[in-house]
Amino acid sequence: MRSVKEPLVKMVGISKRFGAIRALENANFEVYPEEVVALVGDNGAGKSTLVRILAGIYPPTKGEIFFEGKRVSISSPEVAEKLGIEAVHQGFGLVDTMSIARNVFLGREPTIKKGKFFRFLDLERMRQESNKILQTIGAKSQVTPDSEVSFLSGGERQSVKIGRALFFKAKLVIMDEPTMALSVRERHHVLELVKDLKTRGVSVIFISHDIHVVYDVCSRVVILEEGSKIGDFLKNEVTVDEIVRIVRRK
Amino acid sequence: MLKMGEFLSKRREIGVIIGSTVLVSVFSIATEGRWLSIRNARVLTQISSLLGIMAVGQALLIISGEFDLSVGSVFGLCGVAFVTLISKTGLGVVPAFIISMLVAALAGFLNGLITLKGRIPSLIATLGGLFIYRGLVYYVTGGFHRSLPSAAREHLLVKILGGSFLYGFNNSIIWHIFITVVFSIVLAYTVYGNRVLSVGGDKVSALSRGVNVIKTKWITFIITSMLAGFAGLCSVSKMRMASTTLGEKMELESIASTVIGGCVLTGGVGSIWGAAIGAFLLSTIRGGLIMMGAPPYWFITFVGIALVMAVILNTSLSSWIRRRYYL
Repeated sequence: MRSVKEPLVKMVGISKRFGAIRALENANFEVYPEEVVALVGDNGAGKSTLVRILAGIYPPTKGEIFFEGKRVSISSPEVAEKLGIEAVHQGFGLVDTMSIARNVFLGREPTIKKGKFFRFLDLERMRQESNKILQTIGAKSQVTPDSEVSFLSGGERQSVKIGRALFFKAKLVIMDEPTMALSVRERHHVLELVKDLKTRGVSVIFISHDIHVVYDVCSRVVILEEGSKIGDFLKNEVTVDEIVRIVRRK
Repeated sequence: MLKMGEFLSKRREIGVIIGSTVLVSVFSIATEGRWLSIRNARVLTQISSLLGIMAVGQALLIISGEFDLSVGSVFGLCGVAFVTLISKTGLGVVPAFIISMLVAALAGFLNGLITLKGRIPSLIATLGGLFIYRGLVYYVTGGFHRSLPSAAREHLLVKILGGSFLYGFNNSIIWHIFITVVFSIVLAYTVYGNRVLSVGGDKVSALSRGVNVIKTKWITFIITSMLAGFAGLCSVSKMRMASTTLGEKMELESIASTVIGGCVLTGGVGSIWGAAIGAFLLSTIRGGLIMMGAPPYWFITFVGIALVMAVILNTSLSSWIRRRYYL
C-alpha cells in the first residue's frame, strides 16, 4: 500500500522545541489515503506534539508538511479544517456549557439573513444536522441536539467529535487517546466508529500509548521515541508483542 | 420530562425572578402598598436602568470569561467628558456625544489590550483601569462639579438620553429594555454570541475549533465599556451635571447584578435578562429599605446578603434540576 499511492499527508524533518525541551527531532511521518495509522510510543515520545502540529495548534520549529502533494503551512486550526483535517483531542474539543448543536458548528456557524443588515444563526439547520450526526453515531434517544455537553458521558463526547468530523467531510481524522478513561462498552463503540470512518474513505491517525487498544482497527503502526520515529510497520509485518518489545526497548 | 429539565437548566434567570417576586411582595406588604406607587416606581426604575445598562455589558463580558472593574470609572469619565466638552470647549452636543463614546470605546480597547495581549488577568488589568480612569475624571474636572449649559439641556439628544416620557418615567428605562433585548438576541442568535459562550465556557476547545479567542474577548471588552459610557451619558443628561464621584462603586454593583442574575464568574454561563433583573433587584433593595425606614447605610449590607443568597439559590437550583431530571 505504501508504495502504490501518494501519501495524503507527508511530514518531513519535523522538529519542535519548547524552550530547552526537544519534543520532536527530525521526525518523518506519512499517512496514506483510507488507512488507520496507529501512532504509539511511551509518554513524552512526541505523539501529541506531532499531531498537534498537524492540527494547527503548534507551528513546527523546523520541517515541511505536504497535504495531497502540495506544501502547506498549517498556521491555525482553521487552516487545518479547511484542508480537511479534523482533530478529536483527548479532554477538549467540546465546550461543556454549550449544546451539542452549538458545539458541532462552533467556528463554522451557518447563518441566515434577516432583512438587509442582520445575520442570525441558522439554529434550525444546526439542530437538524446535529440530529443526523447523533443518529450516525448511534446516540441514546435522550441525547438531543439541544442537550448540554456537560450531561454527556466520555464515550458520547468522543462519538460526537467523530460524528462532527464525518459531517464536515474530513479527509483525515486525528484522534489523540480517544478511548482513554472510557468504559469497556464505550471503548468498543468508539473503535467501531473508527472502522466506520475507514470504510467511508477517511484516513485516521490513532494515538495510543496502549497498542492493544488500537491494533485491531489499524492498518499500519508507527512508533515514536524521544521525538523520532523508530519503527514503521504494516500491520501484517508485525505482532502486538513485537511492538511492545520495541516500545520497551530500553 | 427531560425537555423540561433542559429548559430549566438553560434558564439561568429563574432564581432572580423568584427572588425579585419575593422581595417586591415583602416590600409592598411592609410599606402597606406605598412601594407600589408610581412615584416609587419612577425613582426605582431610573436607578435600576442605569445600573442595568452597565450590567448587560458586564454580563456579556463575564460570560466571555473576563471581568471589568473599570466600568464605574468609565461611566464617570464618559459623563464628565460629555459635560466638559460642551461647557468648556463649546462643542456641540452631537460631537461631544460621539467623542465621549469613543473615549469609552478606547477605555475598553485598552482593557482588552492589557488583558489579552499583556496576558494579565482582567481582574488586575481593569482594577488598574478603575484607578486610571477615575484619576482622569479628577484631572478633567479639577475636583469640581460641572453643569450642563442651559442651551445644551434643550438639545434633542440630551432629552432622548435623559428626558422622560409617560408619567415622568425616565427615558433610560426604554434604553435599558432596548439594550437588554438587543444583547439577549445577540448572545443567543448570532455567530458572535455563540463565540462569546464558547470562549467563556472552554477557551481551549474554542481555539481548537478555529475561534479567534482574543478577537471575541476584545470586542466584548469594548462593548462593555461603551455600554457603561452610554449609561454615564444618560445619567448626566438626566441630572444635567457631572461630579467627580459619578459612577463610583457601580462596578461592584454591576458584577453583583450579573451574579444575582445567574452569571457564573468562571464564564460560559449566564443570562443578559438575569443581569438586567439583577440590577432591578439591587435597586429594589435600596429603595425598599429606605421606604421601610431603615437607615441608608444598611443598603450595602443587604446587597451582600442578597448576593450570597442569590448564589446559593442559583447553585442549589441547578443541582436540583440535575438530580431531578438527569440522574
